Amino acid sequence: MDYLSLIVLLPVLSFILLVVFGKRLGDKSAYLSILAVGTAFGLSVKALLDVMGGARADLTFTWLTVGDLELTFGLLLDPLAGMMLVVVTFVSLLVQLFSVGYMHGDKRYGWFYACLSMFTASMLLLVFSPNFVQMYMAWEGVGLFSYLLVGFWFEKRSASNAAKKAFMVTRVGDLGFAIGLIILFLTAGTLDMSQVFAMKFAPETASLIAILFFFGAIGKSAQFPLHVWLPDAMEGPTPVSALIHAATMVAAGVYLVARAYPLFEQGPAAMEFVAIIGTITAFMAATIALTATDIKKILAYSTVSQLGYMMMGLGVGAFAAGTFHLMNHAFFKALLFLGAGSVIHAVHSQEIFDMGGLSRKMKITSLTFVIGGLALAGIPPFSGFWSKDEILLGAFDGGYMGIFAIGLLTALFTAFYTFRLIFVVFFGKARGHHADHVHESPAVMAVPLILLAVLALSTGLLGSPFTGYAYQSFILGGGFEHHTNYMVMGLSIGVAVLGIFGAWLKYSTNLLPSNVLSKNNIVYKLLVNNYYIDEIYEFTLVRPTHAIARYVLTFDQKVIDGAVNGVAKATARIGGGLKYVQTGYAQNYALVMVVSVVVLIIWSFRAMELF
Amino acid sequence: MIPLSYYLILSGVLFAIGMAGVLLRRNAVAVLLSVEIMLNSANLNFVAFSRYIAPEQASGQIFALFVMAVGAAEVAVGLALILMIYRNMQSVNLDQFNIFRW
Amino acid sequence: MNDIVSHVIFFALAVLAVGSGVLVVTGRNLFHAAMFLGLYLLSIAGYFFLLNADFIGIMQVFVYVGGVVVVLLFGIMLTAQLTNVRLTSAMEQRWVTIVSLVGLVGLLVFVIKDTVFRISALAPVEDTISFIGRMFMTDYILPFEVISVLLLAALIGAVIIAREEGGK
Repeated sequence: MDYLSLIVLLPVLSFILLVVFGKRLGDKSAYLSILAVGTAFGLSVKALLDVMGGARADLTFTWLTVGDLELTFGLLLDPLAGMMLVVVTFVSLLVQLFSVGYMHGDKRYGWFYACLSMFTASMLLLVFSPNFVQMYMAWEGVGLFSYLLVGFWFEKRSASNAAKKAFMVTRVGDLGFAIGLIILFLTAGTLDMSQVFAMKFAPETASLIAILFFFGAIGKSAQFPLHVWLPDAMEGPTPVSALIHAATMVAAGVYLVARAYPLFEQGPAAMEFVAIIGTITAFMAATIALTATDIKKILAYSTVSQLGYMMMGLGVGAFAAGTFHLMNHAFFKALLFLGAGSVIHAVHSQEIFDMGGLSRKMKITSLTFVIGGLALAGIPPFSGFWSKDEILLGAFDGGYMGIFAIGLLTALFTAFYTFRLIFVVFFGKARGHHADHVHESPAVMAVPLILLAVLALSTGLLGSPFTGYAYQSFILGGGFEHHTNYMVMGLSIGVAVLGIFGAWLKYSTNLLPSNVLSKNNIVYKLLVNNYYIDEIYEFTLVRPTHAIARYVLTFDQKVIDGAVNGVAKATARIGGGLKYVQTGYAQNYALVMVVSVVVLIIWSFRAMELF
Repeated sequence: MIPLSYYLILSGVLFAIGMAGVLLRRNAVAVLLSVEIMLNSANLNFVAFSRYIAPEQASGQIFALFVMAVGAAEVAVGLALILMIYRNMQSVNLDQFNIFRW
Repeated sequence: MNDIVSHVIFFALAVLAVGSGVLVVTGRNLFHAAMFLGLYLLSIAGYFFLLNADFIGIMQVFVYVGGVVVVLLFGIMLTAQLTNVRLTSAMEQRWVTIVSLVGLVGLLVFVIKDTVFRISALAPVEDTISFIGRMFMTDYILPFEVISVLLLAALIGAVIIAREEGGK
């Protein structure tokens, strides 16, 4: 099990080398980083195989002891961690391969790969965490590198603003996480996971801590109401969006809930909270995606919505379903984002109505994208269906009918907006002015697409009856009983087909009147403007904060600087007044001496009580 | 015998007179003259004390002799300095020497 | 000595000393001031004789009256400001000076009046010259040597300070 530390250390090493030598290596930086991540992937697969064979690992070493508190660095390997390791390293590897083509010629190529490497390392460290302190540290680490990568093209004002927004919004969530950590430490006396999960907590305490942890997840996984940073984060390069905002970092929140599941299970109120937030998020984001026109924004809201599904699954108690969807989504969403990147690379635009009919010229991209779309919409035998169906089944079985209904409706919308995107971009007539010189992407970009498409086809089957529900048994570490509910399955398939059909009607044919949903409709306005949430935040939070900051700035400049400068000015003035003592005449000074002597003598006589 | 206190008070008065000259005169040489007055009043003090307190030891007289020697040396050097100043500034008026003024 | 005679001599010399001192300090004519300094020094010499310090008295006349006054006269003549030497000092510190000096004298009087001195009844040294000479060669030999060095230094220093530029 010694090789486990290499999984984390190799990307770190790549980062260090690229920071130092990145400029000199230029385009060759990619090879170093890909080598590191590739090796890490290989080792992760080995780790997964070991775990499937029953091995577990919990290596720790102490790095700080403060009183009773021991802070340790550790590597925890269990089924959940094993699954995540493979997902993270594989997607990271494919994204890095894709970027060789996509980022070709960028002047900060080396730094890009350095950040990708270190991001991967932080995410892996997070996955490996055996205690909450390490998890929080890695949590912050991924947040930092997300900031750096979103703001990679920081010459663009919108990109640097988006990076700041991402960091600050997730910070709000992180605050909840930190408070949760403090309360946990105060009640449990330890932050080591195995120790914490062995304890019994009162339901209120467990709920409180779990909900606070979930705040962190709300931030990192872009749940309502902290989802606002994710669409803006699309300012980053598309491979970054694929890696961070589809497959890995946003999954960290889901991973946190999954890891801390024993704690959540002790607090039913927290579980309900998770489910409700997840459901709201899933529905809301799907509705916004219905009207968006930027291809990356559509995918971003889709990610938010799918993350909501995962939270929904975890919240209703379907641990296996939620984590299964996490894995499937990582692959097909990364596929969709990289496909979008391929399209953007060809068309030089991100607006779907600038594109059209791309399937003719970009065969590989279109095919893989459609596969990803089918997975997202939830059509069997593609991966998305299996996990989404399990989640809905979990809601149904748990008696959460409201959640079930909204989940179904959201699935309808999901299918609709996905295929709206596909029909507009890949089929129909060419719209934009680039139609003539559109061409398929180079192999280095196409191969990752193909690999991910294969996975989108196959990973779902791991949790299906065809493999005897192998995934569920694996992740739960034991036997798993599945009772198939054909009604739920039928409903979920039916809803997906309905959505695809509706999109086909609207965007592929002219059968529907064009103002079924006119642009002046109030619902449309609400959706296109993302429910005005950003505007609400702007007025209620951002403006007051700026006002306070301005006030504090004035206070600092006038009062504090004024006091300091005032001291200096006072000293100067006193000096200016005292300088007149220096008359330059020795006789004046001699007089002062005489007078002083007389005064001293009189004074000492008084002290001696002579008079 | 004349009481010792008479001598002491007299020497104090003479000292004050000399000090007044030091502090008030504007001519450098006049200041030197006043310094001599002060030195001599101190000498008077020494010799008076020696005569009244320990006459068999004449130590005050010996000290007065030393004061005289030093005073003479001081006048010599002081006048040399005044001559230099006069050569450079064409004046020995102390009012004009205020280079260290603010 | 007869008591009354010594008192008379004392007060006569006092008048002489104080008077010439005041005239030195307030003299407008610098040459006259130097002359009055000589008179002052002579009166102090008289006091020395009154106090049985005959050697010191003679030395006073030799060194001060004969040496220092002459040197000062040379200085006065070389700096060529004999007449119209005004009295008032810079920055008008006249009143402060007078007040503080009067205070000083007042304090001295205050202290001296109430002090009881241990007047010795022993006889003063008869032959002061040989006594002082012997003292110089035995008890006070170190200060004696040091004083000679000091005088040498003052002599050389004065010559160097006051010589013409470029001269040897």
